[in-house]
Amino acid sequence: MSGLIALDITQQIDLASLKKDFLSGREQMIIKSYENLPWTGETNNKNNKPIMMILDRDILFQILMVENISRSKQSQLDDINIKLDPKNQRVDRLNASKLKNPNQPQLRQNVITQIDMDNDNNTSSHLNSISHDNDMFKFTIQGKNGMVFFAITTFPMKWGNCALGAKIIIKQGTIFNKKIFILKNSTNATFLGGINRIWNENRDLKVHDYLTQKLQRDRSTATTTQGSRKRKATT
Amino acid sequence: MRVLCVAEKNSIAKAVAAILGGGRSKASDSTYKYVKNYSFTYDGFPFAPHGCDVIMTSVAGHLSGVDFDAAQYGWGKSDPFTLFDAPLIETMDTNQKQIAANIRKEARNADVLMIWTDCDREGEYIGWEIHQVAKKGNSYLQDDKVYRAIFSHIEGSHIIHAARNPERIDQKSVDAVSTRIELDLRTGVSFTRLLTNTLAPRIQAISAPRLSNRDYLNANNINNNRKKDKIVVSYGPCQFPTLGFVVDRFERIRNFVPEEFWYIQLQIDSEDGLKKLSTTFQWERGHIFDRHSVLTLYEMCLELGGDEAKVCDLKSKPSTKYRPFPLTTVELQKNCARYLRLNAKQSLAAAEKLYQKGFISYPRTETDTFPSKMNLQDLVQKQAQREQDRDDRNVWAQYAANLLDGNYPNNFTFPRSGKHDDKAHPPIHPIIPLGKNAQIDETERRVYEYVVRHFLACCSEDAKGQTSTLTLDWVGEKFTATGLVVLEKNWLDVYPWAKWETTKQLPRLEMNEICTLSKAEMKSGMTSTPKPMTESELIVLMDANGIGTDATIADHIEKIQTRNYVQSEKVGKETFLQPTKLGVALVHGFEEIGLEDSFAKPFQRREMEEDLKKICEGQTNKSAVVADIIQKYRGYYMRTNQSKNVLVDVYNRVNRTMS
Repeated sequence: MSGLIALDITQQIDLASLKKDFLSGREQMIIKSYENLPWTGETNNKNNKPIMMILDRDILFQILMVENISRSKQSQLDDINIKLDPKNQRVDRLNASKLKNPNQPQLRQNVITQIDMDNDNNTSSHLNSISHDNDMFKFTIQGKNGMVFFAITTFPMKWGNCALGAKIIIKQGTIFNKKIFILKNSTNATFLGGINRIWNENRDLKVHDYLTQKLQRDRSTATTTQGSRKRKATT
Repeated sequence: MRVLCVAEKNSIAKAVAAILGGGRSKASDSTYKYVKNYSFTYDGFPFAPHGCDVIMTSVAGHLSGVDFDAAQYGWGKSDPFTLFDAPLIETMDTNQKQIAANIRKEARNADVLMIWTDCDREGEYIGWEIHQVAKKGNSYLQDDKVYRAIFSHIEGSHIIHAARNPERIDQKSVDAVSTRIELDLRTGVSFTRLLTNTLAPRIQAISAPRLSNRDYLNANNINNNRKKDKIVVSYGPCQFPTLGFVVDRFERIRNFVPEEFWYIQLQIDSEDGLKKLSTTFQWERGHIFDRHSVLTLYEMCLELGGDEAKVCDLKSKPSTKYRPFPLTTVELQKNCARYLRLNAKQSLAAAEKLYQKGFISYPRTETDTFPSKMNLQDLVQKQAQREQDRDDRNVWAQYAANLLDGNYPNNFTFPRSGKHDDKAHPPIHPIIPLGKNAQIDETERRVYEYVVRHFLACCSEDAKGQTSTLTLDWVGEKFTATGLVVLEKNWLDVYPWAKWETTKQLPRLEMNEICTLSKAEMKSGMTSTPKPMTESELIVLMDANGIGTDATIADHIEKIQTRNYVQSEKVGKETFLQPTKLGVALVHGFEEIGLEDSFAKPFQRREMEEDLKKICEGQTNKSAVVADIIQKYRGYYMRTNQSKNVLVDVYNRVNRTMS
């Protein structure tokens, strides 16, 4: 069973040899979600306008990409650059997590790069630690039929840093709208883990390129929501 | 018995002599015109219980320097690489020679030497220099005959306490400073020569004006002028990381790409009597950088929730705006830059003068906690100026008086304690009040006022308010509005630079009440370019990353401007620091060379500062630290020398591409 969560589910997988009666409840759930009819996202409405739907069965998906959509791409690129080239990191941003353990050798290259100049309450600490516990993540997921959808998490969960190729069961009752599954709480999804080793090779570099491309695309096609008031924020 | 006392500056010597001499000291000239010798008798030294004759004199900062022998190692006379091992010689300029002559002369008849230099590492080293010179005048003055006064300001009882409780010179601190001096000299001079030899011709060529016909006729004059403007491209182990902060901010701005974000906002209209209230609720998720996701959630909420949201949380609790921590040098410089528009050098120089004149305590301190037994109420009492006519009192005098009266909501409260204690000096605080006719200039007056207001704020109650938070649940998505009522301003009344104000009232709603939304909008915004570096921010970044000390941060910031690596630019009321082409080229040049430890990053210097601390703590010694760091710098030098064309290429490229 651990084999299934490590495989590319769009490829033919032979489950005939499995003695299903001897499988645990969890293993049976995985099999069932794999064997269920794949999701197409299509509706029966006559005018073909996308409408909100509720998933009527558990479906197994594999994760192709994970994006933290609560943070700007620029700030994520800064963090990746620190990992890839710590000696030449930009010296005006803090990486607070590493400073928790000052005995680690890599902390030699931790630099405090941004100060909250308006924080008068705690001048004894120059750390500007930003919590990412409530960040929202957008997963690009793929069913066994090869079709690609998205899933967004609206609750704090621990698998925001999961490996690519990890498996997730999206549960019956989950809301689906505009190609996105909305995972509102832990009952909407079961994270199974797993990894596709090839997809995860040089992951930091791949994510770096991915975000850079997106940033370049955003630069050239910047649009505004019609009729909105612009609010400015610094990253 | 005869005791020779030596302070770091004449003003301190004069003040200490006046206190210990009971106002009966006599001044006489020395061999240096700005230093006087003050003579008096005193019976408070523990090593002279039957009283003694005292000569109190001073130096003017460092009594000597170190350098390389110019004949053998002067510019152009040797390969800069040899400077890592070249012997060092002691140097003295004309003034230092005159001051030293006075020390030797007065030491001849002394039985004891007592050092009264400033109580920091540099002061300890200067004390050691004084001892070396005194020994040349009187070899009897060995270590057991040398004492060291420990003091932070020149208030009478404090000085008397210092005289009665002398210690010994801390040789570890002396070694730490000696290490820094040697390393800065060897690394600074070798790399300065390498960089200047490499880049100066190119800089000269680019900045030379094109000659007109008349100029050709005056060619001699032009050549002579060029000789005077010799270009030096200097290196310093603190200068470059300081420059690095500014250049990195510049590059961040240059490469910045605005990103669009989206958010949902709700609005509720309500009435408060006759007034119509419109309250905006902010999405707890803040800004999301994916339109598709926000639109999906927004449509889900519209479809399932319509225009109704439920009150799911209602909180009202006391809130506090904390008074500031006691004042350190970095905080003083940062806030004078931010609030008074004074640069670090100006504010520290003014604070130094105020200390010498007795108005404030020693201004170079990392300590942000007052000793629990220190009598701060007495200092507040002085600021109340009760014995002065009302018209002669400072504007904050009434505030100080009210703090002590006990019947005012804002009573004297012992200051908060920070986490830093350099064990040498307390936080910066006022000593005596400023009289109307005090002999100080405008900058000193402003800095003094800042120090007093900060001190009084520390000794006040925290500001108190009541914060209300209202949270709506719209199909599981949470939206919050917050209101603040300021109940007691307290310290904010004496500290005009901090703001905390009552906001708009929130609608009166009950828990679980269903509200009708007047608006539910999906909006967008764009991230905006970071601001260029201000001096205030640079000071804090340097301090946080261990670049320079409270005493030298201002010097490094000034140096990178003097060397034309950075320029200051005034935009409206703010002054920003921008790198020049040369500054950018140096940082990028070294990045491309790819040294093990980049010069423009703070790692190497931070490690050196940590090594100096370890010397002070006795965990290592000077020779080990010098050997280790020089070994690294030899490697950096060889690598840089092999790749010096990279520096020229980068400089050319930056010149072409940077506007």
